[in-house]
Amino acid sequence: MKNIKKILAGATAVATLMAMAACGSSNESGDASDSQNLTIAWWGNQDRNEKQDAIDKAFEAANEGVSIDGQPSEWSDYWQKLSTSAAGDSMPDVIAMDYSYFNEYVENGLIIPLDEYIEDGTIDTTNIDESILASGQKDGSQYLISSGSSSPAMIYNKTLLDEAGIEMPEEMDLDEFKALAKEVYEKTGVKTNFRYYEASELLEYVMRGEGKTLFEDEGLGVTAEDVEPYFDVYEEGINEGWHISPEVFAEITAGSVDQDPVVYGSDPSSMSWVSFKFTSQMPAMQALTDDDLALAPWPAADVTAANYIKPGQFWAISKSCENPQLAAEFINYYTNNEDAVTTMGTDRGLPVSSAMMTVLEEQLSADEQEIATFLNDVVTPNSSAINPPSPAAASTVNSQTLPEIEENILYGAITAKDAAATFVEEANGAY
Amino acid sequence: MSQASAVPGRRLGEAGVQFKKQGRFARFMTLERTSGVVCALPFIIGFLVFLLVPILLSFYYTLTDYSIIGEAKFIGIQNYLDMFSDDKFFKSLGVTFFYALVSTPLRLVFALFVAMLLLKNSKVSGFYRAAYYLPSILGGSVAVAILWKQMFAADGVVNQVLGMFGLETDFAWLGNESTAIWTLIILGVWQFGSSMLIFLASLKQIPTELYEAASVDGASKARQFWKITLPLLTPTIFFNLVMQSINGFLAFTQCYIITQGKPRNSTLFYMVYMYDESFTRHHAGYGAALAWVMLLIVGLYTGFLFLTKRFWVYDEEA
Repeated sequence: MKNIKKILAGATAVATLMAMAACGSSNESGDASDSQNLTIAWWGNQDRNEKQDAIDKAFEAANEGVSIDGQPSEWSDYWQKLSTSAAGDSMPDVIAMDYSYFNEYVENGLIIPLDEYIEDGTIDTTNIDESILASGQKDGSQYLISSGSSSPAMIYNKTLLDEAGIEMPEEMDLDEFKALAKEVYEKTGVKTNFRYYEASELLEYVMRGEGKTLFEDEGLGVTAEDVEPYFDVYEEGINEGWHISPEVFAEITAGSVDQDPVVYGSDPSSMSWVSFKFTSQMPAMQALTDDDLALAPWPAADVTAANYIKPGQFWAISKSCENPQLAAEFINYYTNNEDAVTTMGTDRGLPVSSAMMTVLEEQLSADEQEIATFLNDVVTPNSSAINPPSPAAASTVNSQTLPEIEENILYGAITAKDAAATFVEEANGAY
Repeated sequence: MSQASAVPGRRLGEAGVQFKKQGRFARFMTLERTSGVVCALPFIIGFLVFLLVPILLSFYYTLTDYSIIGEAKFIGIQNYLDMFSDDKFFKSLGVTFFYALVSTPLRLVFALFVAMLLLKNSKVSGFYRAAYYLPSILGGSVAVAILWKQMFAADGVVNQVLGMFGLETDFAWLGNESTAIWTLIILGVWQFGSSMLIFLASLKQIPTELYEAASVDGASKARQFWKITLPLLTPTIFFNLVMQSINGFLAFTQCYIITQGKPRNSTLFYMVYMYDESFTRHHAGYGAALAWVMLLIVGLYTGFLFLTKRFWVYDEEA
């Protein structure tokens, strides 16, 4: 019996040691290793994944002995995978980062500063605009390199509107938008999707149009009265019949480009003429439909105050990365190599390097040309600086508070007035 | 092993005889109980490292504010207190209880019914048993969940079949608060295979003399079922009831893939809520607390079932 106890005690000790060793190992081997393997994680759709794979292969070909493991996910799965791998200290080496998660990841020390790689020239930033670089900085250090610029945009079905003889105004406010949506529904039977069950950018945008900031550091910068007009759109839309019924969304993944009601659905009543997206998502959506899609700014009281250029996505190097030098080379390749830039096209937005933009401009497809024109001629002259990155509380608001309140309005469970009050209370509670 | 050895456990193997003079280690290694422990070691290590350590860690996390990507901050029992003011916690608990307590009995009735049909031995009964077991293997899978979602869509197979019977409809089964949960319950009932196999095995255990005697006495088939089959099956029913309700409480995939709790949280399973809290909203401490509360609930529920056992479960020895 004694022996068994000894063995058990030994086994426990071994197991504990192993567990501790497993936790410790990746911390120690920080920079010395010359691993030639890079794992690269991003979110995207089929279209983007294929383009990214092609770039990864070209980078492998250009650097002997390097092998790249690409790990694409859908947007919502991406953040779950990334946070769990962060907890296990086994993050991919190069990760796609979004503006809304930037603060959380920097504050927890999960991504490393890129300053030394920029200083020694590994990452060439000479052709990148100051304001674009600034959006990836925090506390004086550069953490992120933007992988493309985009802006909020309504991606709408131009063919449908043309056939119905409806003119799309250059800019509109919420009331004009509601009138337009109603007109489209009456003439074509096609409904509207007012960015239902997605993150809060549209609400933030509408608030910017009123000169207000949705997320401030210590709480919301808006009152129930401020946000009520936003929720009114849902209430009026569902009462007057022109907003898509929430039942349709039970069958699709909200936010997915591939299943967006503009390009997906079998019946006008389950389809939308417009989707509130970003310019970078246009080519992927256009690829899914024969109708001609076009871009317009989101509605707001003051579109110039509301609109902004957004660094579409960023690249960052995680603290688990064993060979940051190689990772930095990859980011530079993505940003400053002609082949890489032309392969990706405008999928993540327009290239951030002005030199690369010149190269790309010559070979843009018609869709991509449309995006470039929209960004350069419509948005840039009529926009304001982007809000600072959102506080951590925004992730609860984006994934739960706002979508569920919108759902409650569409199911007729609460009025827009109550929705506005509930939203402000719950969103402040998330801080 | 020979029967000659007088002291079990101290007995030497064939090889042990040869090593007899080579010291205590060799002797120790050839002891039967040593080899037993060595063989069990992979499991013991696996249990300690992959189950016990995470379980204890997760209990520690219930006492912290832990965002997964940041440090865990100790906050005492605050997570447990927060549950009392969390509407979604009660909502998901209600949904999960409804699901488990409705789908389990339905599934058992169905499983028993099919088991009775398949009891007769014929050339094709083996095929049918396998065919009916298939859904249980597939049922928890992502592919079937996606299939289910398509079937119950407004333009899905279910509505088309209804259309063939003259019930033209584009009813959104998944989008309606009163029907969405039932699509999940039907999926649950469809996975009756493993209960069915257990019923089948124990139906075969019932001595045929009992039925012969009953029919000599003139008992009808129905009466034989109620007076012989069912009472003798109660231990199996009890086992299935316990196992399947626990499965019901812990159901995840169906909800996560098919409905994601929509509409308006009317199909929000407890496990999915826990998952969302932990991984989507980065409240891993709260998520861990939810898990421990579920453990308590499952424990209490199972204990309750065991208490009722003596009122309805047939015990041969009694």
